[in-house]
Amino acid sequence: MQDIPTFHVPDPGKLESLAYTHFGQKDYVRALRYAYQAFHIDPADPRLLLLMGLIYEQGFNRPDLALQEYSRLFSLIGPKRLEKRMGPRMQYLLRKAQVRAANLALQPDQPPPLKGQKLAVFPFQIQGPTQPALAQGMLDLLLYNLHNLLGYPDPFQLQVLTHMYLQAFPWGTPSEYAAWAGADQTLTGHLIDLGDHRIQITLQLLDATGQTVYTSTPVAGNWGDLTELSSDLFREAAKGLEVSLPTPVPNDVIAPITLMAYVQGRNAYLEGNLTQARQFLNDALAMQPDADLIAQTLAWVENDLNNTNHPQLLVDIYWELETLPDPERALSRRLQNTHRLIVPSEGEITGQETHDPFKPPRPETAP
Amino acid sequence: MILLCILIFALSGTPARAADPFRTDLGGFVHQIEFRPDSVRVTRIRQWVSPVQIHIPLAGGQLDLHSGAMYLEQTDTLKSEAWGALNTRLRGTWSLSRRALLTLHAAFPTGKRSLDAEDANLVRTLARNDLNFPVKTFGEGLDIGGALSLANQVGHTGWSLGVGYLRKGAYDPVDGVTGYKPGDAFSVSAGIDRTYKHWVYRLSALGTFYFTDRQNSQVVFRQGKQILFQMGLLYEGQRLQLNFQVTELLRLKNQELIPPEGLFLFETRDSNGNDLRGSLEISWTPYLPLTLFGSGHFKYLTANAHPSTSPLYQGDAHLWQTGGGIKIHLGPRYRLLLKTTRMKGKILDDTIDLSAFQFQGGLSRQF
Repeated sequence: MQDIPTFHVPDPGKLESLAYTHFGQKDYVRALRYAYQAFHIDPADPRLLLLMGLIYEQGFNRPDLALQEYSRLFSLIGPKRLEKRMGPRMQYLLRKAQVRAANLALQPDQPPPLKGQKLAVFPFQIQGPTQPALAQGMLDLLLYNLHNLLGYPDPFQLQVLTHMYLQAFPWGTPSEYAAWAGADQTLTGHLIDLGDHRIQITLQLLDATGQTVYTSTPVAGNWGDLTELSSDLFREAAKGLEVSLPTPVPNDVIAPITLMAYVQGRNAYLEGNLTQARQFLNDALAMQPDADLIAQTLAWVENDLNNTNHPQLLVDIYWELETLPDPERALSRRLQNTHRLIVPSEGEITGQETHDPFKPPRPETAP
Repeated sequence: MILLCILIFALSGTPARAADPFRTDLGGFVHQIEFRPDSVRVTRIRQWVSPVQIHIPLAGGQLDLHSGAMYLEQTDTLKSEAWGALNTRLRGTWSLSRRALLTLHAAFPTGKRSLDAEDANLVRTLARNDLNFPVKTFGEGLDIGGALSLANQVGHTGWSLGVGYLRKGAYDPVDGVTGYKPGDAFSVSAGIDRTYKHWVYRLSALGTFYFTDRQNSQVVFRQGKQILFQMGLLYEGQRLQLNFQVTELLRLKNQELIPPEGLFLFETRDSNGNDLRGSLEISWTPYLPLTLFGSGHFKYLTANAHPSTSPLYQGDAHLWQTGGGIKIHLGPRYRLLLKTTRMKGKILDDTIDLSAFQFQGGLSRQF
């Protein structure tokens, strides 16, 4: 007979069950309290991590804390199992967390939100009748191309910060923004309308104190065809950032009218008008289906629209995780089973039948 | 390189469990089998065993020492008896990490050897697979071995792999036979568990390869390779545990010296019949100090290929065994075990009825 297992240690399952009950009743404070108590007993329970994430999300509007719990959940279960299902929600929460962080950063006495990060952006200063949307679109395009090349920065994070800063400080200057954001470098510039559909852009890089450290060669072009202008801007930005461009230069280019439709959609998104944003971005994508920047922004909007409501998907996953075993106990059980088969055993307290009865060699076979 | 990878895998993570405390187990059991070889005689074989076990925490692992004494008695038309010490087994087990177990073990030849003819007859009876004696031998030579098991658990599935080697020492099994060295044994085991809520579905396999038996350095016998397949279903609740298992043992042909030339060849007739076993064990802990358990075992052996007139013939046999017991914690240091088992069956091509009972008691003290 195998070893009779001793009585299991106090099961935090009841605490977790209470936490879930209160969560269902929208009593999030009690839900969190019970979840914490269960967490202290069993910090490696994947169901508990998911439940805590749900409580933070739904009850306390803390997407940043929810993301921490979901990340720990991935590390326990293995990202492949849940990434496909939870990935979109994690992306949605990440953007919500960035919006929250941007709001917090605007409070007095907060540390610079981009401290330690390599790059921030600030809209071009415009001289002349050029549409601000066009200038914004050019900067977004440049930012997108830089992100593809360098792997940083996070375009959405920078757009949110700039957008919220300018809402709070409409007359803010690039230097003031650079000092407030605290990034190593802030990319901005001047756009001069030369008339006759021609514009000239001069890029600038500011350091963390707002001082100019790089001014590019002015780049001029016809805004009716932004291909060459966009490439030249990209080249100048790379020169200022001291990075080398591959050959050929990868460059997402968008026609001006499409760019302006994109900016309208992007601004609607940043202001939380998801339906309007989707409309504008769909229109822009219809005009230029191969525009990756528009497709990516539209994907963000669609994702947010799909995840805005109550996360029934996560609740479903929570109940699926109920079927998972205690990983340590299951591991020990499997290990002990194999070990018992290969180690001669005397059983519990007396000799007992083994699974592999060894017959002593027959003495009569000895010569 | 492979060994390095295995070691890195084994040593990753924290140790599987803390060592058990210092503990001694004293107890004994009596096992009696009764069968009627013909209409007149009743053969009764009784086995008394009083084992002693000591468990010592050592160097982050556990050291187990097991020894004891056995008394055998057969009453037929005449009475014969044998008694003596059992081999002393020493086993050390260490968790290399939460995913690996290492055991080093040795059996010291304190058991009775150089059996006279009467004792040897009794011991041969003990070794019969169809009689199901719990202890099958007094002991052999100095045996040394080791085993390493690895396991991993991801989500619902756990898998494991184990290897073991047992080096058998030479000894004198019966009077007049000296220097008999049983063949070493090399074992490989693998298994997989699939856990869903409280249920575990299990598949295990064990392969054992035996090296040659030698007497005075001359090869005389080789036990056939053995393959074990085991399928199990476990239920682990808070208070109730169930364990259902079906085991199939395949023993391949032995190798032996074939008369008259004495060539070492595979036997022409397979000495090993099929061995199929099933078991169901239930334990219930209504409250912590008390555990009640019950068990049912079934063994079905098919006849081997020897003719029924051959002394090596083993006929069909069916054995049914049921039993139950109680385990009580007597305070924080003592644990009492009482168990009784009843067996009924038919052996020798179902021509002989057999019945048996076993009573077992034991006391553990923790220091």
